[in-house]
Amino acid sequence: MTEAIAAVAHDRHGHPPAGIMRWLTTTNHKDLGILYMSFGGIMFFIGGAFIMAVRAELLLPGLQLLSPGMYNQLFTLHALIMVFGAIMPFATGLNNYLIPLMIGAPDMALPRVNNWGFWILPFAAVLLLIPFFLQFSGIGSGASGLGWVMHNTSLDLQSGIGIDFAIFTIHLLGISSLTGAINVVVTVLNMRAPGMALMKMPLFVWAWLITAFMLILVIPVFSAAATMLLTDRHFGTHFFDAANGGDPILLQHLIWFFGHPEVYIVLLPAWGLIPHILATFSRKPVYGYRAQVYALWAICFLSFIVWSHHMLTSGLPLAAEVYFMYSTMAISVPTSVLVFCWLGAIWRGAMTFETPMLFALGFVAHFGMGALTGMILPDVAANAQYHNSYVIVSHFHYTFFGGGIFGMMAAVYYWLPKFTGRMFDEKLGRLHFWLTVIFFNVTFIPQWFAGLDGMPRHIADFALRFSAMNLISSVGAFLLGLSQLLLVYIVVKCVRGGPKATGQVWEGAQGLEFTLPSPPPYHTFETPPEVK
Amino acid sequence: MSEMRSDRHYYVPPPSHYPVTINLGLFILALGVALRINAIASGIVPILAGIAVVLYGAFGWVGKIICEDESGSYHPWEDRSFRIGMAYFILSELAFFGAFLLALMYVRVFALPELASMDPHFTLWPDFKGAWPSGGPKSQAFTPLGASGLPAVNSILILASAVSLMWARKGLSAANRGQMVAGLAIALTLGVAFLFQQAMECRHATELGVTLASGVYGTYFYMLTGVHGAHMLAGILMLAVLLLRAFHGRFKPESPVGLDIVTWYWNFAVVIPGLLVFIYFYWL
Amino acid sequence: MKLTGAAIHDESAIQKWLICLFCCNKRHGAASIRETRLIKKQLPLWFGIVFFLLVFEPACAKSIWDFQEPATPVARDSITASVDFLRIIMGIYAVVFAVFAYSIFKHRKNSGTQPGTFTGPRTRWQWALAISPFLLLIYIDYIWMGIPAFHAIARMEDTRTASEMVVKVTASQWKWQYEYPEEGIRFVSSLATTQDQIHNKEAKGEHYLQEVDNPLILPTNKKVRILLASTDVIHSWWVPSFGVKRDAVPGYLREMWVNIEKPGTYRGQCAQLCGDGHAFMPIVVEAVAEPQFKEWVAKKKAEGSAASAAAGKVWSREELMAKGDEIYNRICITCHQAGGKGLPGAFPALAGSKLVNGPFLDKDGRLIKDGHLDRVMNGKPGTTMQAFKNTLPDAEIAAIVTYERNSFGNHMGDMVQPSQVKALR
Ligand code: HEA
Ligand code: HEA
Ligand code: HEC
Ligand code: CUA
Ligand SMILES: [Cu+2]
Repeated sequence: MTEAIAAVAHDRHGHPPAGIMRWLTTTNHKDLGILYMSFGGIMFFIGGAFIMAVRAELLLPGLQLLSPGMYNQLFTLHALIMVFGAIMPFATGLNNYLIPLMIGAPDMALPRVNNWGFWILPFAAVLLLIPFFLQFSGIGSGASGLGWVMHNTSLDLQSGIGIDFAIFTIHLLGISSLTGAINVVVTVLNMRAPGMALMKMPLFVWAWLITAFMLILVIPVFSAAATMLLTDRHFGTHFFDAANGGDPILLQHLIWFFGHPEVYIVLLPAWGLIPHILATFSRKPVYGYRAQVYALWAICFLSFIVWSHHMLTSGLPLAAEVYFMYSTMAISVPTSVLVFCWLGAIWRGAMTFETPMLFALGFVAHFGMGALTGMILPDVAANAQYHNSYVIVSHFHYTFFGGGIFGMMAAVYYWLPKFTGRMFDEKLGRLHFWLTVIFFNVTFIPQWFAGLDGMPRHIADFALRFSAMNLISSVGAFLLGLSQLLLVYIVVKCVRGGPKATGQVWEGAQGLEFTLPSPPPYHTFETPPEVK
Repeated sequence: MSEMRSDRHYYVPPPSHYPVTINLGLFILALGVALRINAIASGIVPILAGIAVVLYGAFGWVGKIICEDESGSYHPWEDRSFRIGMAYFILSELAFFGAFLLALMYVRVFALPELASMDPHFTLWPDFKGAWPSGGPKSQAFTPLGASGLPAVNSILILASAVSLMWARKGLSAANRGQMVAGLAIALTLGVAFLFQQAMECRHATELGVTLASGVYGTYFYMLTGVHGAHMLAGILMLAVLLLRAFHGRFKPESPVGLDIVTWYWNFAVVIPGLLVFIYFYWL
Repeated sequence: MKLTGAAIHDESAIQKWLICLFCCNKRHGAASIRETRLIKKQLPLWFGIVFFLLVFEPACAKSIWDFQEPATPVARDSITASVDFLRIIMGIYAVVFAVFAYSIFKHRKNSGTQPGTFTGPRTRWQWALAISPFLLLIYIDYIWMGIPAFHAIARMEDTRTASEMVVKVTASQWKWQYEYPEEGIRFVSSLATTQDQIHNKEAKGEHYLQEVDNPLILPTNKKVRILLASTDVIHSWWVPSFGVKRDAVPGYLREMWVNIEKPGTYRGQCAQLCGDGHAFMPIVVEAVAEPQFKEWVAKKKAEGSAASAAAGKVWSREELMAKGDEIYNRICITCHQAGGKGLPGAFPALAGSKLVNGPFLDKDGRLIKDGHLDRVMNGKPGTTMQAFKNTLPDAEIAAIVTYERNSFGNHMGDMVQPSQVKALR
């Protein structure tokens, strides 16, 4: 089959243009997948570097390094970059590279749109960062310091150009997410190889289909909210101004209607991946396939109706508080279906513990903590204490980092040999895993206790009772950051060379993508394979 | 599904610079606007340049698609992609409109009554009644717009345009070029008439004192009609391209996908939101 | 765990755990790859220790799992909910992870397991096992924790029944104004920690960043209804010991209530990102017994009438300058900085400012729009410069404007009298 593919590939398109033009103009899903993933990787380090400055400021009480305004900018940029620049593009890169391979399609359904969606990202990133750097030459008052979801009525919070740049960045990112999502939906619905019934698709593809569906429904709401903010700031409208009949809380409703599904958008791709990896290294078929598909849909549905659990202290009416508490708690049911299916996947397997497996298990362990802490947050009485405290910061880093980033790391190690045709250094990989696990917990466990003790988030300086926890957390964060440099080394080393990987790569790996050589040829499945 | 794969090859377009060009244009445009609204620079040059680059990219891209279509690159398999893509794009447009309409609902059902019903001993806004239409406690006075005049006529206009588009589609199926061209032309005219009338309505509104200074009422009036108008404009452009091509006889009954997806866009992203605005803003 | 100063309490469980973690590391050399297997073997031990600490530590008297000591019924509800729920999830985690760990250690390739081929539950027994966790979760969410949560919310939201007193809290960047409408008392409360402490030029006091000039005084054992408003952006009033946190939304009123059971000083701070000074917006509440509260009210009222009398009298230049110096350093300095230097890009300098060094009254004695006094009294809408006539008495406004016109190198030489301010309100 492969020779046939290669032959067809060449007489149809010839070679892609050389040099930078190849990457700028490419319509090839593998090229774009690589671009997306590299971009996500780079942004992870930029976002991480920003937060290192924040943790350095929080190492000791008192203001040492940053002014409060600068502090606000740094964590805002950190969050925007990590969520929209690192995790989401990385997951999109995976879908670009893998979905066509997994469902036996020649490419994504709308290849030029695909290129559009990627190349808007670097522009968006530059746009976001421009005001940050302009302030050093005395122009403007810096980047947005509103927090990643603009919790507050920014109108009076901060003047200057930062927020406007952030708003336009959101618009550009919106185009990117939307085009990417539509592409996934069309590809999955229209490009499956004959015999690849929906209920035969790999779980990763399912997870991405559902993610795309969520993106299509919530990204426009985010753009709409950003637009309202822009017109309120500059064109005299009154969406969020009480004296003229608006309501600042409306902004929070709109943003959280986007923001809550967004956290699942970040995690769904990882939820789709984990069963693959667990099954591979347990040498067993995926456990509870149908149950997982239904659970993902249930989570998708529930995610649209629970948004106000982020606003339980904003003074909602009693009935609303009760409703949002109970509906949020309902998410624990489908989510634990996933957890128990992961358990089923390794149960009575013949497990080996290569790096991807370690990260997948690390994902399970840490996501479990993050999610279980999420289960208690909607309890309104207790939420009055948790809300906007470091408890929340701890909760969502367990889900975002312990879930999202661990999941993406598992994916990197799992597919790196497939992408490059080379094996990575297994020993270093394991070392990277253990360092990450240890320092991740050292960073974020103390934050939980600082939060319980009453430390609010978003503060550049703190009272002395929080000193100890912040000290531990900052040291942990520096070491966590440093251990990530190991990842760079491993990836670069693997790309440069290493033992050859087979097409199958891992002993227990299943799925169409593992029937291709490693790395797969530039064009694959131009004639759809027959799936039985 | 396999019957659609006439030759079992999906058309994967060759490398193209249009997307990245559009992105560059959007970037320059955003930069220009951001500088302008903050009075850092006039920004007029980047704004115009950005628009020009975006237009160049968009027209080039659409031109490319038309070329590919006419040179027979597309088959039912590819067509299906366009249809699904457009369907989901429309879904996202509806979500966008939905955000504005639900925000309006929020204001009418929650915000204004809450402003009016604070504990009487401690209210922040004495004497504020909060019944819609209202612009909030501190807004300037205005006369609310009626539903029966221009807005009603306008709603009928866009409904008629939807009907005439469907009629045009029938013409294509029956290989009746005249009917198709006529249907498209009527829809286009109705669309332009709608836009024109809407502009009149805005002028009328300012005469009644409905401006952005008249609080949420003015805000939602201008935002809803503005957002709707922008979609209308996009729809009109699409119709114009179709009309031009139909006029030159470039459509075949067996590949109606271009006409179909534009019709969907028009009916679902222009007509239905328009009607919703009419019902929820003017009428109820 | 209660920490005072930077001193680290050595009973803290987390530190025990950390020490254990690093010691294990050192002894067995985490960095050495040959020994990763060894670490893996240690893993159950580690987790055992952690779980022991996590699950049993809460049984101790003052645990790091608690919130700050509760002082109101609502705070007790919230702490009960939190601790119970935390125990439950730790239990779930321990059980589920134990099963995972069992599988990880038993079902290995090198222990010769034959991989199973099942893809779902098959027997009736397995189905029951698969369903039971969800039933348990539903029971926890909606009955075990759900019902008490409902009662707690109902209690928390019932601000009006049997409330004996009202306090109105108005937030603005970055201070709180407290008002006792029935007594006609109103004052502003802002950070008392010095800039030198913040910038590490001076040793930090015990209540660093959690101390204010004028604390809110409340009587104990009385249900106090608190109304919340804001003049600029959303802030959030949070005192952990009271178990209440509620946003102050500009243009709207929010309410909550406290009923403090023990006299004492309670500290908290603003909990909604509200701009540059968000970290510097503390709340201090002093709860005193009813008779002392009455005394305090009487004293405050007397001060109030003294202040209005002061507004009537003619102040000397020195008095105005001294008072102005005090107020400037308490209120304006957060933005306009020491010496009136401002912060370029954010807050204008007052030293050498055109506005400060310009006229402020026209020839008919009216305020000049965008003049110095107008700016201080009416603020500038859309910026963080607020209308201080809402929060400061006449004498203070007069003093501060006089002070600014004659300090930081500004030599206008004129002054403003409280009576003028009063007339211009
Ligand atoms: C996917 C999302 C994601 C990820 C991966 C992270 C990763 C990290 N976050 Fe993140 N964070 C958010 C999403 C994320 N965060 C969000 C959404 C917020 C909320 C913002 C808001 O309130 O609006 C937030 C807020 C937030 C805060 C709270 C700020 C505040 O409220 O005041 C803190 C504080 O400690 C923090 C810390 C960290 C740390 C230490 C990491 C680490 O894991 C990072 C590790 C990675 C690196 C460090 C990069 C790699 C290394 C180098 C670049 C080499 C150089 C290294 C050194 C110099 C040591 N984050
Ligand atoms: C990927 C990200 C992610 C995920 C998956 C979640 C998952 C959940 N989150 Fe979280 N959350 C965030 C990211 C995420 N969250 C972020 C970023 C914020 C802060 C935003 C901001 O303010 O800036 C936040 C804030 C947040 C709040 C607001 C708190 C506040 O500000 O007051 C609430 C309140 O209810 C909440 C609840 C939940 C719930 C109920 C889940 C549920 O999905 C959890 C359901 C799962 C379970 C209940 C676990 C089931 C598992 C088992 C039964 C067995 C497990 C055992 C082992 C594995 C050993 N989250
Ligand atoms: C929360 C921050 C903040 C505080 C506190 C504050 N100001 Fe201001 N002030 C500002 C800002 C911002 C401006 C600029 C407004 C503008 O854009 O013109 C300003 C402007 C001024 C000006 C005009 C300066 C000029 O040259 O334009 C004067 C005078 C002034 N403030 C006086 C005071 C006094 C007196 C106090 C204390 C009682 C005070 N301010 C407290 C933020 C603050
Ligand atoms: Cu006020 Cu934060
Ligand atoms: Cu949420």
